Amino acid sequence: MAILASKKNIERLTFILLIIYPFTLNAFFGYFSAVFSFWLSFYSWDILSPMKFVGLSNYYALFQELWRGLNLLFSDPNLLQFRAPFFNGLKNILVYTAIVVPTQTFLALMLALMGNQKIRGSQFFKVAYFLPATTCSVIISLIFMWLFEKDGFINFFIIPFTGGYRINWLNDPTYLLTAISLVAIWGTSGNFSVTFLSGLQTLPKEVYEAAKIDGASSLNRLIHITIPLLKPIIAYVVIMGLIGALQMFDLSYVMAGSSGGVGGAGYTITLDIYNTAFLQLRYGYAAAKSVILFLLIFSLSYYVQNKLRYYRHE
Amino acid sequence: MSVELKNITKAFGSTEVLKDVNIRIEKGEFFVLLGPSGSGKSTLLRIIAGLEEPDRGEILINGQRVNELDPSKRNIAMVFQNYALYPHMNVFNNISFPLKMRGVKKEEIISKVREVANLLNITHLLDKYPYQLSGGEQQRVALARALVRDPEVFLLDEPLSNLDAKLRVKLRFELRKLLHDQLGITTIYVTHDQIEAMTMADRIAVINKGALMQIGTPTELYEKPKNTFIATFIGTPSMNLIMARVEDNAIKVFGRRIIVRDKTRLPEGDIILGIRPQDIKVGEPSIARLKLAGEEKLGSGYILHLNFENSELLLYLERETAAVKGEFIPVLFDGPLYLFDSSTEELVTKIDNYEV
Repeated sequence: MAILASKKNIERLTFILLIIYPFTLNAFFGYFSAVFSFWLSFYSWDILSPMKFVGLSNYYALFQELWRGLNLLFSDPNLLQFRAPFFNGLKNILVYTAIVVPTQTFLALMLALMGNQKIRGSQFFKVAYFLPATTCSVIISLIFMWLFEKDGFINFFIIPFTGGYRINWLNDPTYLLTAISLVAIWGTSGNFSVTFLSGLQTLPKEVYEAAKIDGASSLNRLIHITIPLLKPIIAYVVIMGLIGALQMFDLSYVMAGSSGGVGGAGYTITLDIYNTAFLQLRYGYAAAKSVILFLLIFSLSYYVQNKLRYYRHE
Repeated sequence: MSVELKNITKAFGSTEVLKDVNIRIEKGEFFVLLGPSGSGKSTLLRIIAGLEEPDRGEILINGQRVNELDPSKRNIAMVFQNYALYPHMNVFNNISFPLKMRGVKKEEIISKVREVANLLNITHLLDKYPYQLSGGEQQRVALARALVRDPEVFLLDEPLSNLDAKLRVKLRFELRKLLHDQLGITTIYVTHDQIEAMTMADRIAVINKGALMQIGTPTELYEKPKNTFIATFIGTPSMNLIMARVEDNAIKVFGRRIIVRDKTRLPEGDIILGIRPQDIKVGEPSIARLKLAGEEKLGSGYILHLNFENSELLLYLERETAAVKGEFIPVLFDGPLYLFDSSTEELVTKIDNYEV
């Protein structure tokens, strides 16, 4: 084989063979889909009939829906899910993100700090906390639906604090989103704590000793040394958390259903995009919604990254 | 403040790193812990700092037992080998951190930081971050951070070993001047570099394999080493050790007899004879003619490597010899001889007056 004559050619061939599989997948499902859906957002299409260019009218409709939703929020919030589902999904997902991301980041950091102590059995807990990350989210949701039942396991523990009142977690619009949030926090904190743990283990030991001699208590060391030094990892965890939370689909789909459960309390943007595209067959409109979701995720991540900018490394 | 270590013993797992160490360091003294790497000297310093706990033994600072005290309560300051500056704080915040942790008032912090920054000539660096500083500047910031709260005892763990050679020589002089002459702080300095130890210390404690070998002034260690380890560890090039025999109160070496003029009685039998390379000369009346194996140029002088039997004799000359490699050259002893016991390697006696 002439092509394999030189070592350089072998290296080139290896390079192509190694990269062709992930590149093809990424090009088709990643870049092509992203560009195609942006392009699609200017069209009206139901798959069956030919695509029709509609200019910005998808965005105009979306803007109208958002405006309608904003008005309803203050006048008649019960109608939100029917008259402005995208707005309802947006509102829910922002609340959900505001609950989940700070809590999971904080919990993950605490778990990592505990796991970083040299205590007997810490290895067991590290594995135990990480386990949810290896489990299918649908299965987790199903198990939690069972736990959240009115006479379920979770209420059993809560009764003493509510004076016997059993919260109807999954069928009460007040608690549905909270229940979903709790499952999400349970599922991701352990995962991110491993990220924090690896970060903690790279921190220089001498800096802590210097701080000890300088009179910093363990709390002061956490506030003045550990957290500032972990900033890049905190930024990473927050951004990954944001991206995950804003796109949440699986938990709501299983625990609340595709229409978002009672009063649409568990409705999310991705559920709405899914419904618009695959149930209503309005692909162009769904594409416009995903562009908005993309802008939301991008701007929030960008903001967080800027906010948590680290001192420049040597 | 004085620092006293009593019967300090420490083991990591099954390896004993410190064995029953007893040292007393006087107030204002510049004290050096010297030893090869892995000797336990850094562990000893960390025990004084409170970063490690001894398995047995007591640490007294100014007569008070401090074993149970937190590092921050011992009124010590420490400079680490890699400086351990806080990478996310600028120089001002690095220096002020120990004051802030002690709840010192803001105005006082500012004036204190300015004062030490002035002392160490780093006022222009206060807004910079550690990664923007050179090694020497980082070192001075680390010193400033340690000095800012007026510690009674200053601990330094190989503070010069990450710097280049030229800066190291400059700083070892400046460090002593600052800490000892100017501020008069009790200083405990860890190093593996015997030249650093010799040039800086009031007294040196030599540690090897966790055991204290000898404590003394640089001159004492050089002139009266307690055993062959110290004899060869201190002084460059290292002291020559030659297997010899004592017969009829005379030392037999190179087939010649060295007669001792002093009235001392020497123990008969095998002995290790030590002589410094500076105390061997080329010329007559020679004690032996040895083959020249090679020469090292130092600029200030020359080290000759001479072969005899299966070992090597080093000899330091200030001027170059005309001899060429392979030539046999006459050597004579012109300086004190050290006799070490052949089994314990302890110093038996030092002989100043002798005749070949």
